[in-house]
Amino acid sequence: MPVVPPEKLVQLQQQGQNVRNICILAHVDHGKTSLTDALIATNGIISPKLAGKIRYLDSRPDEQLRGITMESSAISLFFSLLRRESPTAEPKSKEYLINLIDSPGHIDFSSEVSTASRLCDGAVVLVDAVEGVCSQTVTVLRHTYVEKLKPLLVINKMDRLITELKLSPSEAYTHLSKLLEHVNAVMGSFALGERMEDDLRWRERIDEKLQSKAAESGSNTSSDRKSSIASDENGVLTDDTPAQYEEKEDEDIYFEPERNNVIFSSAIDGWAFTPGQFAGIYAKKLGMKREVLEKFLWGDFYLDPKTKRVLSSKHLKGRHLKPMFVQLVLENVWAVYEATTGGPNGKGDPTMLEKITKSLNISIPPHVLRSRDPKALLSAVFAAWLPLSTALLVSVVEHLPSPHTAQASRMPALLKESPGHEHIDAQVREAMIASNAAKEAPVVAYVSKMVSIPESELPANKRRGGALTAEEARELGRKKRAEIARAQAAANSNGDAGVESVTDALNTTAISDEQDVPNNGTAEEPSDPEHLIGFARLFSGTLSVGQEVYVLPPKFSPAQQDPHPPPRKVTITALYLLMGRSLESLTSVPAGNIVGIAGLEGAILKSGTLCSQVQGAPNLSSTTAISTNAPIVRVALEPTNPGDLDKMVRGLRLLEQADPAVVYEQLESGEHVILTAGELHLERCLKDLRERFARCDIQAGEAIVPYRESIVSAEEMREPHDPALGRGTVEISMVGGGLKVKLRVLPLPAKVTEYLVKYQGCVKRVWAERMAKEREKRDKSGQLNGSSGSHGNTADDDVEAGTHGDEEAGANSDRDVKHAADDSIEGGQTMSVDDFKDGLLQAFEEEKADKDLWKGVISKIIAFGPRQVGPNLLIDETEDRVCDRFFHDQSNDATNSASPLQPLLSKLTHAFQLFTASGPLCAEPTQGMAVLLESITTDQAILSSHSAGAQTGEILRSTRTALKSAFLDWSPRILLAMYACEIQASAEVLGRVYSVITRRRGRIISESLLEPSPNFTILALLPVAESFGFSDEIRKRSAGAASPQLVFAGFEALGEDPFWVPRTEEELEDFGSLGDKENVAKRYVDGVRERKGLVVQGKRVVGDAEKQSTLKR
Amino acid sequence: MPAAQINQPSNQIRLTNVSLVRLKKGKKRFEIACYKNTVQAYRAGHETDLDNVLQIPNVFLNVSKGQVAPNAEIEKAFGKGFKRDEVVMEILQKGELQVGEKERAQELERVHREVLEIVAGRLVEPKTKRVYTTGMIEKALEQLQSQGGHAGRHAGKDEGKSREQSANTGSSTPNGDAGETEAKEAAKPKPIWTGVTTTKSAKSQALDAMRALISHQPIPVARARMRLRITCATAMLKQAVKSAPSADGDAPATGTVKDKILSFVEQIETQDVGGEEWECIGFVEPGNYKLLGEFLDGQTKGRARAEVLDTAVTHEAD
Repeated sequence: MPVVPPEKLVQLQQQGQNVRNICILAHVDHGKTSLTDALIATNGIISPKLAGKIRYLDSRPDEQLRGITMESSAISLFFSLLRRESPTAEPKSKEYLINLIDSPGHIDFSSEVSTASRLCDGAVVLVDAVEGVCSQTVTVLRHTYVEKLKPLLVINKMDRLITELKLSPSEAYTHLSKLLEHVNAVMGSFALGERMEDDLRWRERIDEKLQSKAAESGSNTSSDRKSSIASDENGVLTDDTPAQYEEKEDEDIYFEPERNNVIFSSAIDGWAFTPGQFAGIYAKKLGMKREVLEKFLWGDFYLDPKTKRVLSSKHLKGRHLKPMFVQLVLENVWAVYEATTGGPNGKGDPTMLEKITKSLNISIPPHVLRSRDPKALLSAVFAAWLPLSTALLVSVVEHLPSPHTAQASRMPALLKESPGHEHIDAQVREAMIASNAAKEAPVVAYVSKMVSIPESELPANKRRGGALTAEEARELGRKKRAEIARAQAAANSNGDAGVESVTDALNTTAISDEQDVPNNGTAEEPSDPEHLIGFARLFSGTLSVGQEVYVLPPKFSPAQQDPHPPPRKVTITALYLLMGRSLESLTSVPAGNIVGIAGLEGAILKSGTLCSQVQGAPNLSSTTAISTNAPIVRVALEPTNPGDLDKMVRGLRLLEQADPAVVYEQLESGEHVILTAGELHLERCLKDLRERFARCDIQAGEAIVPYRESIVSAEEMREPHDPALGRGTVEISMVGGGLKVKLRVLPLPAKVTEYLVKYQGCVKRVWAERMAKEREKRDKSGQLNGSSGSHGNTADDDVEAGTHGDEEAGANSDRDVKHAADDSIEGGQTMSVDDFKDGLLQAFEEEKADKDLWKGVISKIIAFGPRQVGPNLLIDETEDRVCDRFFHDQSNDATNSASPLQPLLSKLTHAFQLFTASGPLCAEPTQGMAVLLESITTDQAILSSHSAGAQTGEILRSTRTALKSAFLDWSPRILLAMYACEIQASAEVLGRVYSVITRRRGRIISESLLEPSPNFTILALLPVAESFGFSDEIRKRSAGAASPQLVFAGFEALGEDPFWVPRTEEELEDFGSLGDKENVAKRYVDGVRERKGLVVQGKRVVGDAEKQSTLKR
Repeated sequence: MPAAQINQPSNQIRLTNVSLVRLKKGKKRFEIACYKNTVQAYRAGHETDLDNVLQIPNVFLNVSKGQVAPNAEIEKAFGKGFKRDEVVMEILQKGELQVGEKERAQELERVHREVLEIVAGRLVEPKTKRVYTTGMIEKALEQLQSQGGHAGRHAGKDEGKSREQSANTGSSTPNGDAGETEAKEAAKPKPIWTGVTTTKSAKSQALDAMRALISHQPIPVARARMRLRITCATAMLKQAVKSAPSADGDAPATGTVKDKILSFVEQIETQDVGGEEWECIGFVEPGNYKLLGEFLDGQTKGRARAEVLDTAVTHEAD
């Protein structure tokens, strides 16, 4: 085949009617890429001999290695339609441009499928003839149905029926018809759901009409409709009008060979046919009309050998005839296999082959005939007889719509789904529906993803000769720089590289002391910088290089009058024809084509819409309209060489842009976490990072799981430490008896803790406001009057020692308040201090048990903790209220704050903050704990004899120790971080899903049937600590029929004391003195302690001392 | 038949899986035979089963020779009425023990983790003020260790390069600082990190590790600073610094108390005078806190004080 010059394709792009945008969808390993190969071979890009083996569109090395596609990639193909045998053929040949997208089949990459399907008008769905309908087949069929793509079914791997299963033609026929029924059943179930909804709507409408008609009383215009209603009500026939209406649509979605939307193929052997093709062949022989034969070739129709008439099964009259499809089609195909690869020794039957070739009127080159490889012979016969590309492309061209017709039918529905659709400019709408390619028409394009392409592969860099562009000059400069020694290079290369690198050099020389060479992003990576190219479909208008368009982010809605942030305007720097691995430069592209757009770097993260106007522009990329699986596999990344951290972070940012299904987060703990769609996807991302984006070695590991510690009042607890004082009470004597403090630790009521956790933002704001106010006041008092007020103020601050780590906190008082206010707006909590107090009061009042204890407690709060905002309280219960309150009134505080106790109290508060930040169980933050300061007595004489520094240390230390023992006086609990887990699963795999959840210590919350589909939605809570590998396991166990989504859902206490040991007689009887039951809480605690290098209680170095290996020494 | 066995490799009885615990009492040495790697766990209370610790519940004079301690000897050393079991327990609790291989390895591992945890909590990335994970710190320390502490800026070219690149990508101010401090430290011998030991406390080792990391900078690190509030009577501020009474006469008194205080503070957040009190909130390098405290104590006789508002300021997400 001759290579098709790109110019030809460009020329064809202009003729909208002759363009087809198709995507190839299927389950993993059903032969998408092999099929694509066969099509590519027709354009002379690869050799037809290698088609099906080379997997041209799998351009990544790991794709080739694993033999699966991981990224969807596009190629534009040229096809000229020539009808030789058909009598209805038009005399001249027509030329078509087919934009083909090969999509990955693995579930991890299903987001690629959904974005790819939006770009296309038609879909080619492949099904393995042996494996039949698999989980992903259902998914892709649903995609085509939801996206309203016209599907074309290809039953692939037909050769397996012959060579592997060794079915006879008639067995194969039953197998195939079952398979087809299965596929149609799947399609029918989608339609059913819609039909049920439609039916409901229709009934409602009819009811309404009926009522209005009844009101009018005397209408006879629609008697027939009434009768149908009547029959409805009688229950005779449920839906008669909608049935008719549905029938139309039904027909459209089902696959029927007689309608030529089913293709039988074997991509590996390079053949495919539609029944129509055979109908064409036999029409003359049998003396029947082609159209008639097409209708009867598939199905229970038989050919009467004598009369040459088609009989239905009724007219068989007991004769044993083979269905026509078997007799006319399958048997011939089987014969070819028998003649070439069959026979006693798998070498074929030369005489039979000769007969076949003669009857088919094909000639096989002698060198193939002589070849020892029967496969070669097989392909040669089929290539001449039933070439795959012809069958497929003819069907694609004839059956699938052109962008014009497709957009006319698809666009209205698609636009309706997009947010704010009623605000879309009518002109834009018109243009999109009509696929208007005129220059003046508004440009609308949807960018499905950003593809990262190394600079060297851009067409601009492949060109040789001619004038140097700025880019090439820079490239040249870079190469030179690499060659010459660094110091010298600076001067030379800057001369070459032009103005930009000179400025770069100026920027960097100021900083670095030794290096004079420009050190920006390009110089660092000597080989190929990555360029991001948008993978886009143009829906209307004509896009050309240099044009300026607006980029609408996924959250954009035309309903918003003043979108914030305003859409960015970008200039298209280049347009590319996507040709698999390579790109071809374009100057302009008309509507209805798939194109690569450069110049969107930084403007689009993942996906977006391009439009030439902002007002009334549609948003095609909204998250609601496109179903993408939220990424669920979560790992922490770390560079192997710690110095490479910066590189890795930069690489992660790039990766996040280049891959629609990756989310990158940087956590408080300094971890760099990425979320990917699956384990396989993760592997691909890591490879990408290592080799392209970050270019350094990277390790992945489990992310650190956060915990919380708390206390509860349990039924059975140990004896309190000091029965005289009561549970949780401690007396500490510090600084040689100079300071005596009595503290009491209590668990907070659950409601209160919940409230505090929920409204942490408010506490933070109050705190920030107070800091700001005090500062202001202090400024004022400092300026105006000399001495009086300032003492009080400093003391105020003493109590509230510390701050949350916000950098801005102290910088500027006004900004501070604003900043904190922003925070709480973000959290959806703009409450005033009073509202907060009211809420807190209510929460306290809901606690019935210890009413007296918590009475008026809010006014006594000294501080929250940890970090001033957490869900723990320090409460002042002293007789004379020595402490400063959190919610205090500024006016009347001057009385006690000047007392000498203040510095000591600030230390106590600090100790409280430290203790709450790292609890006694495993140094994780505590929550739901109240510390009551009951009394404090000092002896100034002793105090003053100790130095301040030593005092601080001792007070902090002994207060923390005391708090610890008081804390452990109660029943401690460890709180696990939980994921809310939503799983959609079909009824068959429900049991397995449950078993996975329970094994991972999850808890089912609810389960409901997801109408109208047969799937269940399960809501469960799953500990984060157990979630590693969860999604993978659940997918494996359910054979892909269940897909979980995980969202962080706060902390939940484990109902077990980590220090529990059997104590009562009954317990001892049940569990034995060693407590043989595994204590789960202890396991978690020990895990954390071990990680942090804390002493693990009860951990023995060796399990069985006697059984230590003694072989060595 | 020979009277005594000929000592041959085949008929030697070797003590396997035995760890001795010895106690010297009354000029006699008593031994008990324990299993390896168990005694420390028993003493810490992690192991409660005595059978898992003791090979034989008996007291020996010499375990390897099989000499059981005679009652007379025990009575002489431990006093009359001492039962054998009690003696065993006493030896087990008080005797000197051989630390097993596994015990040592585990303890080392634990201290190592503890050190990492401490270091990771107190070091931040200078630009973003974000903390590093323990994994990153571990790798950085490993790098220092493998270079034997001799790696300066000139040792590994690659490493130096990558570091500079990473430094250059950011804003310029922290780089300037880093450059200065490095230049300053070049004169002094750099702290060396050679890995953890079980002999020193985790905290002091963590301080060593931090010092080494900061001077070598295998990854850009700085200590998370403390936020302090320093208050001082205004009258004191203007006074000249008294020369220290002790031996360190190398710093002659220059400037006022205020200048001296401010020299400790890295970055001042607020500073104002209210009546007789001068107050300053600022960030202080943790290493300077102690010096500052000593200075304030010595100079101002308690009329000035420094309070810790936050021990380690790190960046946190909102």
